[in-house]
Amino acid sequence: MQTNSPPQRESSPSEANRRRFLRQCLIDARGEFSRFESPHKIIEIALLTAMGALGIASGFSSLQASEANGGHIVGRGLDGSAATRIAAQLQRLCDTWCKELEPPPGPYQIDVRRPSDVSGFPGLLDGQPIGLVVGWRLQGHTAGFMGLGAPIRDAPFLECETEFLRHLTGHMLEAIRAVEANAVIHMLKNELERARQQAAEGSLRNEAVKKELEETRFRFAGLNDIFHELNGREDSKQVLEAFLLVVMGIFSVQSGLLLYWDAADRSAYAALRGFAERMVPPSGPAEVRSILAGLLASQAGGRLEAMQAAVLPGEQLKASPLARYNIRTAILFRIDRAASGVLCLGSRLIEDQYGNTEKELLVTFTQTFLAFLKNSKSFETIKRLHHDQQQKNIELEKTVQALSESRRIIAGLEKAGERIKSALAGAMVRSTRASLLDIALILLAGTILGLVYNFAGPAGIPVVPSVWRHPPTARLDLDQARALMDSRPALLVDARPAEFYNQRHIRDALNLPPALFDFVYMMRFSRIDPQTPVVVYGRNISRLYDEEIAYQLTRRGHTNVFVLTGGLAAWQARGWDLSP
Amino acid sequence: MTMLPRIKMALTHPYTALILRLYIAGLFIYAGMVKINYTAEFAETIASYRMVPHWGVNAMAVALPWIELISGILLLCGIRVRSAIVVVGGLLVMFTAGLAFNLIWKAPIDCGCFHTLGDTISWKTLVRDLVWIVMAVHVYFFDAVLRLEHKPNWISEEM
Repeated sequence: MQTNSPPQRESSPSEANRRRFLRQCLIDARGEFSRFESPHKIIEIALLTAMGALGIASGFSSLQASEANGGHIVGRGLDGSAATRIAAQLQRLCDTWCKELEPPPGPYQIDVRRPSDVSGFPGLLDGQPIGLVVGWRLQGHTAGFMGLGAPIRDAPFLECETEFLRHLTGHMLEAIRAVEANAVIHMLKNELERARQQAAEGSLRNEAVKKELEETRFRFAGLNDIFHELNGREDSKQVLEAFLLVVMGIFSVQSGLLLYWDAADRSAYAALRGFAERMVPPSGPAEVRSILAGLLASQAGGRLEAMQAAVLPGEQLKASPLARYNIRTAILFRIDRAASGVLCLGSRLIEDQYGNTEKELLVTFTQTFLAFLKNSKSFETIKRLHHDQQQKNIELEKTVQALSESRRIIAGLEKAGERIKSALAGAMVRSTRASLLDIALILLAGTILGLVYNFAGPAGIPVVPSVWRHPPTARLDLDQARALMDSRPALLVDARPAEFYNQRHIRDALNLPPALFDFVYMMRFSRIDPQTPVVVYGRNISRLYDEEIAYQLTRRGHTNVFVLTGGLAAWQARGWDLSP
Repeated sequence: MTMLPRIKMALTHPYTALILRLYIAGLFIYAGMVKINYTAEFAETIASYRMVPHWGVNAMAVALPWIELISGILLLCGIRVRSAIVVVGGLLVMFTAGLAFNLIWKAPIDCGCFHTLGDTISWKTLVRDLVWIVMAVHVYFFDAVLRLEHKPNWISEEM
């Protein structure tokens, strides 16, 4: 560091006083410095302190914080325009001189010179000569200088004064550093405060987000519970009951009531959970329908569209028959024009009142539940339709079976009809022509009827020839008969009917036909000796007259009765006598 | 139209056949009923023809009147007309043959056709039987109306 100190003079009492004065000024200046927090004010106080302590009429002080921020110059004993000119003039000097100063090894560097020792530094200040220049530089880019006019006493600066300026500048720089440090501290403090505030705000936001997340988690957990409990349930009543229980579980509700009425199939449902035993649900479907009709007729119920749910206002709840259940909130819901219901919840375990969030959640849950309830209703409808379809299919199958049976019967009848028709046709065909079977039947029928009538009637005749039942008669051939008739008296009898006898007979033969046997025998043979030989002849293919007459004569006691073998034909063949 | 076709049409007309059928039916019903109660006399008549073996005369006398009666009834009712007329025709042929042989033989016998006695056979009887045979043939070929076995119209409509 260059030191251009003034020439040393010997110490004197006045100088000692002067030194004490300057020391006191330094102490005062330090006190003053501590009062201000602005570097500009500090360099101003330092300038004023130096001018006052050293008896200088004019001076200026410059502060160059950085090239970008520019500099600050304060002047005293100068008019405003002079300060501006000096500032414009000295800015360049400051830039060059301050940069010439080596970066301080310590906290700062101070250089006190005469203006003539500084290259390019003007020697005049507003027309007055500059006595001393103090340059300084802090670590970093902050630098500056202070220019002082000549003392008023018109004497050069003393060494103690130069030392005073150096110490004053040092105190000033300390104060500036303190100010800068305070500024940094303040800035850091501000930043810390801002960061704290930001942290607080962030914490608040986190709390809000956490609360929101909690609500969302609660909402999703509730929806998950509802999905888990209601999913897969196909019966509407199961869905209603499960929803009541799961809602009571989600909101930690002590008691709950659910009423449901469907006008389409006139079905009602009422479930009561968690109430005292003396509290009973509505007595029947009519009461459920009446309660719901009253709620739907209210202002809240009237605005309710299909598949919507709404919170029932408290005054309406108190005015309804549901008030006796000590209900805290109620959700009215509607599936369609026919089906509707109400979910009533009593007090909660953790909080007595239901907030808007809980009510919104209840509405959301109820609307979710409505989707399940509608699905279950649709499923029931599908099941009912399926059941009806199955019944119709069974009936149709029975009808088809009956039709098949009828068709089979009809086919059988048609077949039988065809058979009858063909039989009739065959019979007709047979009737138009002669049939051996018919002929045989006619003959057989006549024979049977004739036999029956013959056996049963009074004029019956033996069907078997009677001669088969008689003992055979002795026979004589022609020669034996001729010999017999020649040897002794004998009778020759013609047994044929009289017509044949009259046509031709053996001469001397007597006619004795079977038809007139009794009469003719009595007239002509009764007196003949039974021992007289009798030779009988006369037979044809149809009648054995000789055998018949021989049998009759034997019955009358004739013992020598014979049948002529060959008869009239053999006799005629011999050429023996005939008559006529 | 000439006379011959008219005559032919009249002779072959079904109603002519119907008249002949009813006539023959009445003839045989009468003949059968007359002989049913005089079986013994009818047996003698059959025997007099000398056409039937002696062991079959009585049986024929028993059955033949009933066969005549049944055939006559069937002809009268129009049932199995052709079969009945064949039976009747067969009987007539048999009777005519017997008549012919006995006329040739000059047998002094009664006809026995309706009355068992007092109706001696003659060529006139033979001609009468031949006429009846012709009637039977006519009935066989031309009879077609008034048969009970014909299905009524309503039955044919149903079928």
